[in-house]
Amino acid sequence: MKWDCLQGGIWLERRQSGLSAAEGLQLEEHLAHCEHCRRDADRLDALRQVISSAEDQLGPRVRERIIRNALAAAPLTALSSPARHPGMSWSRLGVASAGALAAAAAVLWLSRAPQTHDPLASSPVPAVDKAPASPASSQSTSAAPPFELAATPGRDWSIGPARVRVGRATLLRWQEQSASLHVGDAQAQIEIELAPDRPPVRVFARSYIVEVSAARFEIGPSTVTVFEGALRVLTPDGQVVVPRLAAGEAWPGSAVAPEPRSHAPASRAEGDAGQELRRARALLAQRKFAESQRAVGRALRAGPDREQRAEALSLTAENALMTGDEPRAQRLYSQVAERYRELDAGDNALFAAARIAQRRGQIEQSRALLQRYVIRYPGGRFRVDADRRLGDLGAR
Amino acid sequence: MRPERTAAPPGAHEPDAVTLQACREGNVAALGRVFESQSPALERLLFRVLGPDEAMEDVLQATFEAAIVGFPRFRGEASVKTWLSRIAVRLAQEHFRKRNRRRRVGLSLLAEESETSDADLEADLQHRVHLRRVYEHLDQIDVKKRTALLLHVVEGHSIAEVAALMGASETATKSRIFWARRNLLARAARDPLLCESLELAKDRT
Repeated sequence: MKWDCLQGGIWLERRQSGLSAAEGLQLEEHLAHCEHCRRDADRLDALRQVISSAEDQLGPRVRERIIRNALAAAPLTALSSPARHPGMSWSRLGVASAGALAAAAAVLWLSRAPQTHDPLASSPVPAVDKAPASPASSQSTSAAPPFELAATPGRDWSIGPARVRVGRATLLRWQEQSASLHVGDAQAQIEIELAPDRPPVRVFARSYIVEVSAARFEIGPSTVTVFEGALRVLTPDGQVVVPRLAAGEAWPGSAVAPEPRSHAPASRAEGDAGQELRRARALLAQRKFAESQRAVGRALRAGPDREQRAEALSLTAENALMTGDEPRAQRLYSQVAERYRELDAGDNALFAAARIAQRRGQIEQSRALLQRYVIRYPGGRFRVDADRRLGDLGAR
Repeated sequence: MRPERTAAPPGAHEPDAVTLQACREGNVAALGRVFESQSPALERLLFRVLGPDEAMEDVLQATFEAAIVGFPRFRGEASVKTWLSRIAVRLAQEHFRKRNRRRRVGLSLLAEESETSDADLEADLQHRVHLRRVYEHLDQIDVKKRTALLLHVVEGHSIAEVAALMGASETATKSRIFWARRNLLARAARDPLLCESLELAKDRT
């Protein structure tokens, strides 16, 4: 290569903004005579255009979610929220609340039990009562009183952002200001949906705390098991014990948690597709959305069976939902519901599509999907919830 | 030839001293505001460096997480945008070192969704194929070289800016860009799909 060609090559990238006037003139003169460099310049320009024409911005909801996740994932010592009580750290709040509330809950529940013993007499809407005058709780909470709910077994209860099903009669307490839910030493299944404007919820068990943005999990006095989503486990003094406890994992111990389904799919031989799908589920729970999607792609290329294809598409829908793309999630769930209606995935997807439609204000469509669910899956996992939602929508 | 330097999007201005101090103290609201204003520029940077079907969102989140931890040590000698960009570039390079390259997922998922996709799918698919092909060639180039090339040629940063972002000397940066360009052009010239799609075939004769 001639010296001027080498020099021309070096200057090509700096053609418009990085060259002095003299250098630019020299390069243009060179390009006028050197076909080789002119061709390189054209090719580089063409490649740049291909790259530049790609989409390069996230949607506002995805952006907001990423920022929220980053703030939620940051070490507690790095953040100081103005919403917290002055002089009261999260850790001290946890110690004070967990201990005091466990005792207060037990006492209060004993005194309230007769009033809520009959499940028919108790409303699914949480009762709002004034907080008991516990020194610790009055110090740790701000002016607004907490919601308290005497939950009984056998039905789902709504309190704050959570849907809770308890194993035995339990007093639940929700503190809006600190987004904390106290379950004492109850054994409870809890589902918390993603809400863009809400900070992560802290669920206080007897001896530990879980912090969660969106997940379905079971919590007990000393164990927590995650079925969907992910959460992190903290000690009562706020130290992180498990940074990410993802779907299918339990703490303490690493036993794989079974899905709490009434009609779970039969176990199948686990090939590459199955492994990739499990990986995709775990990555999704860790909010590694792009990596999860790639794992789904690998599963699809690994010759999945019908159930695995259904799961792959469901994971894609869940990914879309978690990244804020509700229309796409709804469309994908509808596909799963119609293509794989005989599988668990179809059951789940039809209800999920109805729920998204309702959230998006598509009342008629939501009603139609729920009615279809009730007809198609009379003993379905979400039958009770579907009936309730249909009642809310004014149609049975 | 070179891209036009687009004006900063609205709200992408540098945070004031009060906001910066609040960020150093870990104020959630201040951090959120700064991230919100700086995010579009970081997204574009990461999209360019990482390419399609990549863990762009994960790296962006990791950038913010690193910034939260690092803010108390941020002295304001560089702009917040430059500082965040430097973190993003470093994390993008770390990501390249760690991961096993696989990029076909986007197409697989498109095939899965094709029943309900609209008429734009074909054009979109074609574009993604070309884009993926370009990045497949870029994947074969050393991470530092390709990053320097993309930052300079596509993102439009000056040599000095690229050097600062990558923590390298200007001489090394020039060299990286030069060799990356040569490598990429040579690969593109041997790729029939790219030659055709970019209408480069005629140039080969």
